[in-house]
Amino acid sequence: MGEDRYQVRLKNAAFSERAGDEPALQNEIRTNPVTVGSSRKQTHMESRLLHRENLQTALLWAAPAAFLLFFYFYPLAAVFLESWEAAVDSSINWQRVFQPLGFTLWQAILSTILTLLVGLPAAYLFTHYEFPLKSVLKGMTTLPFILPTVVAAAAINSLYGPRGWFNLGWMALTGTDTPVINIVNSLAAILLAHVFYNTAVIIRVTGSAWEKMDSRLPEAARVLGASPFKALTEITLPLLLPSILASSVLVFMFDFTSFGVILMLGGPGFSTLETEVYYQALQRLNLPMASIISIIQLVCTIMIGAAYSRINKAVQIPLVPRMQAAGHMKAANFRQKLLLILLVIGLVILFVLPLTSLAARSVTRLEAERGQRTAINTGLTLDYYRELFINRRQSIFYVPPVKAALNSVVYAAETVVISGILGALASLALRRRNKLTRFMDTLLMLPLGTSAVTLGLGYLLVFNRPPLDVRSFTLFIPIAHSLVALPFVIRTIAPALASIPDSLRQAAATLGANPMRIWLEVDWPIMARSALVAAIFSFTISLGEFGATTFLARPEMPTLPVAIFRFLSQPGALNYGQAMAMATFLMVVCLTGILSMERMKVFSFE
Amino acid sequence: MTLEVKQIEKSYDNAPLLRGVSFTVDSGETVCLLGRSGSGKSTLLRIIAGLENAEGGQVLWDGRDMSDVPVHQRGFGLMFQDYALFPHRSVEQNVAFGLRMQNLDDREIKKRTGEMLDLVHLTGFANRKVTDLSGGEQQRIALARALAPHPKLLMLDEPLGALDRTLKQTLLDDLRQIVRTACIPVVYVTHDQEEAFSIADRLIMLNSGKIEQVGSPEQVYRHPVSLWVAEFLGLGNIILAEKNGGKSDTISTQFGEIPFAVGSGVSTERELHLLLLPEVPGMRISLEKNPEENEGSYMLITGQVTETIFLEGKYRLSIKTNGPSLRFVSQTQFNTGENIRIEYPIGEIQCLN
Repeated sequence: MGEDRYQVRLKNAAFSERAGDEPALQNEIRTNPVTVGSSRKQTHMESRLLHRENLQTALLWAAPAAFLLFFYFYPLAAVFLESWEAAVDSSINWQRVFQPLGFTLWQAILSTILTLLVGLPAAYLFTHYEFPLKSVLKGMTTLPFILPTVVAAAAINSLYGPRGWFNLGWMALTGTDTPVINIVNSLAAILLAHVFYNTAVIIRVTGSAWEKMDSRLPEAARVLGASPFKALTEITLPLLLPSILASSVLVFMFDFTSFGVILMLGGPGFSTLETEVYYQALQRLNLPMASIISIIQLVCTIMIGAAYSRINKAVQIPLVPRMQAAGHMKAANFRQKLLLILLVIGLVILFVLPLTSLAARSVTRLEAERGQRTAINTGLTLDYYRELFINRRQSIFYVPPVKAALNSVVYAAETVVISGILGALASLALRRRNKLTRFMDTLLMLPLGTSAVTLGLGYLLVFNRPPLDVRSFTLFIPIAHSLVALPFVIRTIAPALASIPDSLRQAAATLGANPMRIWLEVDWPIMARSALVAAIFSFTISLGEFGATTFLARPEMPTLPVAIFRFLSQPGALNYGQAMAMATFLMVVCLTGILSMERMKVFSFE
Repeated sequence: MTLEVKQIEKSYDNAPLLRGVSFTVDSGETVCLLGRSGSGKSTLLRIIAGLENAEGGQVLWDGRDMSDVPVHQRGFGLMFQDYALFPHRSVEQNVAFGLRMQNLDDREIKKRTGEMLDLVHLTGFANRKVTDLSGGEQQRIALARALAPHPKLLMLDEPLGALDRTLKQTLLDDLRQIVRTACIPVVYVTHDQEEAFSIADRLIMLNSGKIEQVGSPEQVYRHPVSLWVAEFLGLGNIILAEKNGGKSDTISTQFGEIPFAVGSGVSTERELHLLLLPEVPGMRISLEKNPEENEGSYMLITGQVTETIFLEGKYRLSIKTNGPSLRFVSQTQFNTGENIRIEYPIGEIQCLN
């Protein structure tokens, strides 16, 4: 599960509106006339046809299955084996395992509680009040969740970091030279960042339940003599409890598996299971230790995931949906107005400010560059963007950032191709619903539940001999990204493909189209939009992926997120500015992708 | 124990919803707010309950202004449309909710909850889930829940709205009895006139935010004050008439000239609407082939029977005249196609505004 925010998007399709039509799709596939395995007696002819279809399906699955086996199960098995050998060997220092486990749990619990404390009032605000620019604010609170973690971390840094707006502003105002907020490399920064990007989960999950709750229920309680507080604790909260629990477990899962934020904002002083795997594998070169921690992490995520699906399945109280827009009110009296204003200000500070301050920081010079002893030129500048094209250090390990951007784009394009081909094959196979198909479908979801860091570690363990050597074979990065992107691609393409009635193809065939023409004239035009959405999806996933990439990117071939991480950990105002510029660029690109996907409502054939 | 509503004003989406509504309800009296859906009836209840604020006017209880009293301290009972039963609580917990809010001790709560369930004939339902109840059972539980804390006032918002007709009838009888024994002011909101007529001591006819008429069901039925009331209640035949100019104090209708001072209601306008109820004392219906002299105090209507329906011991006739189609109720049978004449007492003709 780990690092990437997009993984989450699908896993939790449960609360994304778009995912709503998925069960319908499955029904459609099941009721498709070609469905096999009906109980009626089959003629010889039919059974031969059936046999052929099953064979076809099996052939279609061959490539995705081989891909999964070789690039997912094989590395994962290696991690298991390595950790087993290490565990048998008694020289393992278990203290190094339990310490990060303890901290992981602790920060995840704290983060979840804080996220709830912010998310519930925000959900209340969005489901009960009308105010100007509400949809914009709501969109902004969801934004961090869908942006790459490095961008989220950079945004927090641009506001509260030692070189961020607050500290430099304070130093300029008071003439001192010590920062006033020292939260980077502290628990506070980790918690703040987790609240920053996970509150969206609470707002979406609990908010939608709140929206559906009959607003007359708390009113009925009030009429029966309950104070506002009593109505909240006796009626509203108990009714919302299932969704609050579900969203909390989800948030806990993301906090538990958080990698980029801990690495970039927690610094070396804090280590969670994920970052410990990173330190052990890449800095101490202790692969057995890294493997053991990976496996513990995997077991924990599986347990949290199981808890989530149990809660989600738990019998939900049927709620009578309230009338449209009933209960959306304008603040009427002074108390409501005050509450509304305070909530809006709080949300703006928490969510809107970091993202805008990131963009603003990338074009503003606030302090002297290194070595500059003369008067400081503060003000607007495009220097940070200009510097992206220059290799100052003349070192092969410090490529100019623009090279990192190019690498990212190339990897992302390769991801689109790999996941596109595999996704198309799988989607075609998914049109025939049988045992094999269902099994493969579940199997393809597994990479979403696996930490990207674990995957990266597995690659290091397995692919260390030419020609498949992590150090020379550059396709591993897009391959790892494709594993993550594949389920999304399938979930986007398969419904479109399944929605095309067979009669259309048959009609085209009777009109003289050969199979190739049928594909070109019927299938492709109908599903082209979905294919485009799938492509944008995998492109942005690849662009923002951080966890696996840190393991697989060679020093002289960094991707944008890796470069941002490196530049942020370097001293100097110029490096900082460039990190801001890259993060802003990444944010804008991902945002464009996400927005264009939102605009292109996937075509569905009715 | 009097509820007084004074000049309530409320708008919704900048359109006026309630425009100066005033009325009073006394102990033991059932007042029925009757009007089309969207006429602001439910909003008025919510304002009385304190769930919404009026933009103008006052809600008074025994002369005391309630505007500063929050909902939960008013002690008014409200039975919501579709009941709003708490889905996460059992039948017993639903009924007990208001009692718990009064911090009564558990034994008392248990006892009163039991009494309430007996009252609504649902003894033994205590531990059922409210989501497993039928519509009629939910309605009874909602009533029990509203009555349990002994409210000073009971308000019912379309309490029988979603139920089917036969169930409605039984529940209506029960409801009437229970409400009478509670002996508190009752405000009943509905758009269904049958419901209103069978439960109300007094009807308040609400039309686009204003009270059109107040009166006992009989008064309203016999003497609707306006065209809207007559049409809304579907009282019967409305015919157009025109006042004759000059000194002749008569009006012309499609069925001849009649004296102006008709039964009730006066209008200053030239165009008039006259109401002919389907059944009034002194009305005579006979076959046209044995014509009788018109005695002058009757309006004479002739026409052909297009439909005859036997209902509750009487014949409902639809009659095609040379003007509009009319409906009358007859004690004797006439067949479709027969030409009949109706002598309608001029004293019973009503002039509508």
